[in-house]
Amino acid sequence: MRRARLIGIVLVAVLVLAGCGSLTPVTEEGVEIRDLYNILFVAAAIIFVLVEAAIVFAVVRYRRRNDMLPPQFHGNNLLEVVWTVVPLLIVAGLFVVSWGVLNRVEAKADDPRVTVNVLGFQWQWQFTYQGERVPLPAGQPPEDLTIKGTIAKPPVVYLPVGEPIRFNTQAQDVIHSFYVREFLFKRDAFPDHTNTFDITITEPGDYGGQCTEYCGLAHQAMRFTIRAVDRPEYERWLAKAKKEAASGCPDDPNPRSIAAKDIAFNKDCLAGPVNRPFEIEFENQEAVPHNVAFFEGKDASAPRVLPQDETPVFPGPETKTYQLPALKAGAYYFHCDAHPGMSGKLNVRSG
Amino acid sequence: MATTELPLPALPEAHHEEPGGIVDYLTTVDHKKIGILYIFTAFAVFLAGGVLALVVRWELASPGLQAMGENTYNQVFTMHGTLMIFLFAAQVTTGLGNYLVPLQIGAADVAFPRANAMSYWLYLFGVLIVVSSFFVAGGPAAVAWTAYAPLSTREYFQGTGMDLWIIGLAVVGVAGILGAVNLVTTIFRMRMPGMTMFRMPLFTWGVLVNQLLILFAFPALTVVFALLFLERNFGAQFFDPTYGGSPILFQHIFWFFGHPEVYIIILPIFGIINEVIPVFSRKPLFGYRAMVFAFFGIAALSFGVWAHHMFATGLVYLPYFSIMSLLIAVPTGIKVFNWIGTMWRGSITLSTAMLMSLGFIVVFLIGGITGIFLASPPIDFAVNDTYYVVAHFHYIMVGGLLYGMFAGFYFWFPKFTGRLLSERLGRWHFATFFIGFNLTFFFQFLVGLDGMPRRIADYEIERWTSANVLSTVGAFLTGVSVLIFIWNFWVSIRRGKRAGDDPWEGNSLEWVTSSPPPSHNFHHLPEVHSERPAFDYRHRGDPELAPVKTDPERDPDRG
Repeated sequence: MRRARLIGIVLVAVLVLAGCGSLTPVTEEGVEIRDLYNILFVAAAIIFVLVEAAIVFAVVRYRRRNDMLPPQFHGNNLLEVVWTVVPLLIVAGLFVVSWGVLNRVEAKADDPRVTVNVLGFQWQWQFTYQGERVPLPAGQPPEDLTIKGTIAKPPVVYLPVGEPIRFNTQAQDVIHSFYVREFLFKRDAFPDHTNTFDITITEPGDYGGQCTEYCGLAHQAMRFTIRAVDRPEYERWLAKAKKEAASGCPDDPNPRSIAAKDIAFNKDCLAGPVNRPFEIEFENQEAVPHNVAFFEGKDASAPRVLPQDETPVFPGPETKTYQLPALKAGAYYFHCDAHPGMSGKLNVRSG
Repeated sequence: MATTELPLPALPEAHHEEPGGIVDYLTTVDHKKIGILYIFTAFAVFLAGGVLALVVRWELASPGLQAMGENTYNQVFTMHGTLMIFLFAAQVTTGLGNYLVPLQIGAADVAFPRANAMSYWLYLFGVLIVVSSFFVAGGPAAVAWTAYAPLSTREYFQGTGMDLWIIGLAVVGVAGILGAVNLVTTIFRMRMPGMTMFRMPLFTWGVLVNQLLILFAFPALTVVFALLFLERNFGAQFFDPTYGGSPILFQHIFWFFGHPEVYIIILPIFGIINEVIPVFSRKPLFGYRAMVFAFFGIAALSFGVWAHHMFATGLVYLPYFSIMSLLIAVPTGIKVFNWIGTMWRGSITLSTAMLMSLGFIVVFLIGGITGIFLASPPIDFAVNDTYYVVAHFHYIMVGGLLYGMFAGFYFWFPKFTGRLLSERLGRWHFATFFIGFNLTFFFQFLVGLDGMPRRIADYEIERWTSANVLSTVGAFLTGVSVLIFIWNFWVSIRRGKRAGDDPWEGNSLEWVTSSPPPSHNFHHLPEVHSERPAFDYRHRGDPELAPVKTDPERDPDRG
């Protein structure tokens, strides 16, 4: 019996430990999911303790003591019906409860004030604030505020607390999954389909997220931070971010140099002057072949700024300087021809 | 009506090779030797997959990339999953089934002995093709064992290793289908007189349902690999949206195979537990027919739950797959309750085989209960693709499969070899395995709830370190337990105690014949009147222990 008590203590300790698995939601939807988890946990813990106790009791109580054959019974119909029907009722109950939670978690707001388009690519994320226009000089095509991460510099995404935020997830290449730990929520990003869901953050703070659908080499590096702030602070940040986006590359003292390492650029933004030739310096820091190719438009389907033989792909470590011609004001796309996922924007602006 | 005597087929000339020699094993069509070949090959794969698991644990013991780069890490965990799930788990039980099913139904061999040999050799060559990918330029596949498109298409993963992976696994799939045709036919057509379906041992039932699942599920695997191979090498566009293909299509076909695969792996293990617990409780199995129906219930449901692997895709109808997945708990629960019923008021001997079976129930219960959480879509949104899922399915796979497999090894080793495995080493094996296993995977539940994703080479969050260190320590302790088992095998096969024909007072027919059995399996067979022919034979003449029939059919003894 001492052994039985010891096993009992271990069981309780295991359950306490399991209960400590920290679910700390910061969203309305996350709180629903945590409450559902707790309901299931209590049901599971009761079943677990009862079943394990029955096993331990049987093993301790019915150990072989002599050579007498025990009674040779083959079953008990009533018992068997009971332990078929009772679990059936339990799972039916759990299903109903979790369906209710599912409907509330999946519910969509009528008119969310903030919509963020999340684009996953190998291997980072791009967040576009739908409808938040960057103030560009007249004549340029309109552009929404976009935050694009790099492996070296994962993006920080500002969002307001206390109101529903619409997320649209999509992928540029393979399947990714948008996951924020404290949201207790993830949703895949597909190349051919947009997933939409609403989240209402309730607590201000920084919340880590990353890709949770294995997507190749640097899957683990697809990290980002959601920074939840109150509405006024969100709007202050929005105004500042738009101004910076219009003026070139924020927080970059040297926007005319770029480097490649670990199959990634160290930045996704370059800047140059209007109507004046300038140089971009590119340092390939690894033995993998890379280059920087510039395009006169939003993506690689536009004509090239420099002919291909002036921007050859080469293995490093080596530094090359590209002589760019005088360009009109606007946003130009660039990428690495060997790894089109390595891409960014060249802003040609006055000032 | 006149009957014609059919001429007996001419027997092939007898081999003069010493039985058990290398040439004998290379040319054998004996189901027992083929079974042994399956078990040894699968166990070798298991050891290789286990070493890869230790490499993964080594890397994750602390944040940062220490032992290897991201690409190597990705290859290591991909091949760990590939070896364990495709090339070890289903095949080790096929090996046990190959050896035991004809013995348990009183047959001299399987229905198609040569096809049986062909299944094994196809399996071996499939394994060799997959393993050869370690030696080609670029190394083996690094796309996870699920190989989701488009990540596994040539645009995103170029190496030859990926093509070898597809070819090898497709060959193994064909071997599995061929083996399943064979075992299913054997069970339906070659039972001895008196061995009705409802008198078959539960292990044979487990193998029957498992092989039926293979017949339905493996073709889906063959299809998805064929599509992927065509896409990679011949410009087909099944999964590329630019040309009207669909990435989600891959997942649907893959999991239509992939979820039944879980039960393909676990049903024969249930069968082993069903054999071991009655013998070491000295009682008949509680609820024999309920156990059989539970097998079929699980098998049927297993084809209706595949998309619960895809709750987070946003592309499946959640309530249907949720309720179907939850329902699997019912037949599985029946099994657990019936095992407890079997032990109840029994006379329990804690041999190593019994300890392993009890370990199986304890950890499988944890695996099953956490599966309920994952069947609830909102909770799945939180923990899918985190270490919670890793812990859950290792509690099912390692906990279920390995405990059951070792229970089977300790139980039938004396029948295979005529010698007993050492019980003293067996206890050490069990203790180190039980502690090591739970240490490895229990803490993964906690770190998974805290949001640590699976399949990452590195993590930045310091508070995840302690759980990962414990996990790594546990993994190496589990490695030690496997070494103890190998040592036990090595010592016992040479100097182990002589077992005799029936060391455990077994219930099924294999315990009536010699250990190891002769090449034609039986010199004489007792009559079969219940699901425990060996028990009835041992207690013949005792009126209080007359056979109790489990089958509802007309009594075949009275004609």
